[in-house]
Amino acid sequence: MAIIVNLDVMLARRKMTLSELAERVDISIVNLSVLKTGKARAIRFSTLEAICEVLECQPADILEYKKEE
Amino acid sequence: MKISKSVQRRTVVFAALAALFALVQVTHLAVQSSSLINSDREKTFRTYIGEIDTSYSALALGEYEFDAITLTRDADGEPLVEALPTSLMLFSDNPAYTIPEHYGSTVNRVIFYLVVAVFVIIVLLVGWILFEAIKGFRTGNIFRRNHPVLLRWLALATFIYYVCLNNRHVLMQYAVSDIFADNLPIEVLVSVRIDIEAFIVPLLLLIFAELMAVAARINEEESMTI
Repeated sequence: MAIIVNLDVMLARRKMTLSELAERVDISIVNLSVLKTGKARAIRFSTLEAICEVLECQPADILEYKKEE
Repeated sequence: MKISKSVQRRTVVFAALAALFALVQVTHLAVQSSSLINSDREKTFRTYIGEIDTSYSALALGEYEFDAITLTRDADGEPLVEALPTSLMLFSDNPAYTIPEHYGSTVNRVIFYLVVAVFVIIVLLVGWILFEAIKGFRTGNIFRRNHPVLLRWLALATFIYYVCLNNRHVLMQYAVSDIFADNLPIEVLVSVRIDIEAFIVPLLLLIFAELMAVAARINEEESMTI
């Protein structure tokens, strides 16, 4: 997929683990893992908002577009 | 996806009704098959010889419309084998008479057992689909990838069932009409029948299978939406 999720980068910057983020965002760790590994098909705005609020970042910090060749 | 209790109850009721109708159909088929294999009723009154369908020529029977058609006579000139107009049955009042050997009765039995086997497969497939539907409603995962596959197999089995069911006597009738062809005063048409129901029901099932396939893909997308 052309959209790349850089969640692990932001987690490293904020020194937070995936399980901590899952607890604070109130999303299962399984779903967050799916998002982190790039297997998710779509993300809701409410989910993106919750993640950005907890990680104190912008959506562009998490989502990146890379054109597929 | 949470499914309400009322929807679950409705689904169980529909599934129970479908199972009841299937049971009635199985019972009906068992009674029919018993009369087909075991023609004791005909033996009580007359000797059952075989089958020939004069109903296709009913409109052209003319003088034979209400009387039995005599196909062969014995040495004294009395009717030996007769056919009832608009009927399937050949019979003889002479219990010693036996129809000449023909391939039709063997093929007829093979086709009959094929019909029974396909019907059992249909019942199992319908039961499996109903079980999956009820399980899906209870767990909230209604649309799964195997559902369209089951429906496509059901469509194929239904088509084979209808074609075989409507034509299980064709080869027997062909063989018997061949035996009595010279003595028949009317032309008996024997042909394969493929009624419209043989296409409509399977086609509807195939359309439903495609809808279920689309729904399963949407369900997967939904489950992968974070």
